[in-house]
Amino acid sequence: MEASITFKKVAKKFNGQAALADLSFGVERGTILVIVGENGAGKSTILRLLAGQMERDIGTVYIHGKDVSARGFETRSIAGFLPQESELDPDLTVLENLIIYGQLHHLSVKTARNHAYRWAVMLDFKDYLRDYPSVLSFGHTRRVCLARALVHDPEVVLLDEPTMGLDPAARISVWKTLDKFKGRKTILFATQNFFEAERYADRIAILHNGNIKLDGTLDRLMETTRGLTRFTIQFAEQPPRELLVELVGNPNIYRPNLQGRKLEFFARERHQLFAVIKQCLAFDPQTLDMSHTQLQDLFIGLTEGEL
Amino acid sequence: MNTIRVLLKREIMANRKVWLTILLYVLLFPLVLFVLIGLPLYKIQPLVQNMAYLHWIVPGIWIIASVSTAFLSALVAARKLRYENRLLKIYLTAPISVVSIIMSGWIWALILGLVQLTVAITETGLMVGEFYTFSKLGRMVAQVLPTILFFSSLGSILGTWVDKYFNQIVISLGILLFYSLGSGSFIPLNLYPRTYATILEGSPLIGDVHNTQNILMNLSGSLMDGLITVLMALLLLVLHGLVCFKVFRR
Repeated sequence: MEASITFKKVAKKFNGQAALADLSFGVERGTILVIVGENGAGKSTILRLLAGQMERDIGTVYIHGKDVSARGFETRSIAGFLPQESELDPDLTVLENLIIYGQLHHLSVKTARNHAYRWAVMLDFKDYLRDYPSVLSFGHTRRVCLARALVHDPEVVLLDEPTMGLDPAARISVWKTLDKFKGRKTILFATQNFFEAERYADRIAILHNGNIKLDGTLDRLMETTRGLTRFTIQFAEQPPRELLVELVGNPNIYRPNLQGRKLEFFARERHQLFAVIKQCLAFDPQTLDMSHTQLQDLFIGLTEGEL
Repeated sequence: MNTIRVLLKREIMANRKVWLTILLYVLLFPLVLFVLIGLPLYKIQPLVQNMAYLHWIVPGIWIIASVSTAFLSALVAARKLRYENRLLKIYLTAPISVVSIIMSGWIWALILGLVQLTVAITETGLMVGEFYTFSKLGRMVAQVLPTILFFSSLGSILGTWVDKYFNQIVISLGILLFYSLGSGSFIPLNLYPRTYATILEGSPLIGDVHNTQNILMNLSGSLMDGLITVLMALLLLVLHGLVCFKVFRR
């Protein structure tokens, strides 16, 4: 499949600190890539480089084979960007915000207005079109920003934490909208919401310290855990800390965590579980739960260097 | 060009909320200069170079009113763009050039400066009861225009590169006070200390004021000062553009 977005050995520094370091990855046309990463990992920087809000220091960034630095006019024409911070022009009404932005993308007033109305209906803010941004709730502001990113019908959609701070209904409305693009538009979104990443991504990239630690489909990412299972043991009373200390010292037990009466840890082999159960018997264990490792577990394990 | 037109349209839409303030400012500013500076000084010095003082300060009122309006409009537009509304971040994601972004603020300031000049010409004409021939008016306006260009550039730079609002106010106040009271617009240069006047006479910006006054008094006015002022305005704009080009997408 043809590449829609390509990063080649890209580096970017802020005040001498590397935000991105030798970053290379690609996104195929019509697919959804989700970037997950902790705060400051470089997620927003990737999106802002693609959107044209900033320039890379080293390397090359392409959208549809066009260098975003050398052919910014063309790449910005085909990309729509929803920034993390809701940025609307406070001196214009919601409708004017959308029309002016559409016109800056060379749409006629009539077309921009039609698109604005269409998105207002789809994202459920048509009652606010004549209002100024200052009277909008956070959720509505976010939806208007999303509409602005889509008003010129971009081929590449860049979303920075698209559902951050939205109520469940608004989140569903946003995802219903984005679902319609599946297979037609390239979507790159950054999030810290692992559920959304698992649910919507074709591919997931785990970003850490400005570089991608792991990248692939959810299944492939989970394969890297090589059968790692999460175990939770519930005790009648809180066991002593010594139990946790012993588990921490066991190289086959990963990320043991004791919170109140609940002990949580990861292990690969069943006999390792039995060994732990033996240690726990003295403290009256009540229940044992097992579950497959989730993206969040993998992410924490990778970024903390424990898996 | 199309994107500049869209950005100018945006300026007009954004200023609808303050249209009354802009209207009152544009209408009252020349009147205030005439009443609060012209009339009292007329009583102290009725004649300047054998011309009635109230006639002599007409070019000063035109220049100071239009220059102040252009300067402040450019400053406000640039400040909003860079620091207040995150407008710049919005614009940077659209397929428009940094040049278009800069030029739109500059042209907006120029338009308001020209509107102010037109109002000032009309009002001073009504107040002193003298309207000039087209030829004389054209020659005088030709001397005023470069100063409007220059101060539009200066306002854009100040609004973009001085981030603290208080510093912007202080610097703006200093520039406008100096140009109003220290440029020979309302007080003849020969009344200033000799050394100061000599230094000022070498400045093309002061020369523009002086030339406009000369044309009013049917003396010859040099085009050189105007030309140098235009070049300085364009140079400032180009420098501003180069720096913006490097810094906006940092």
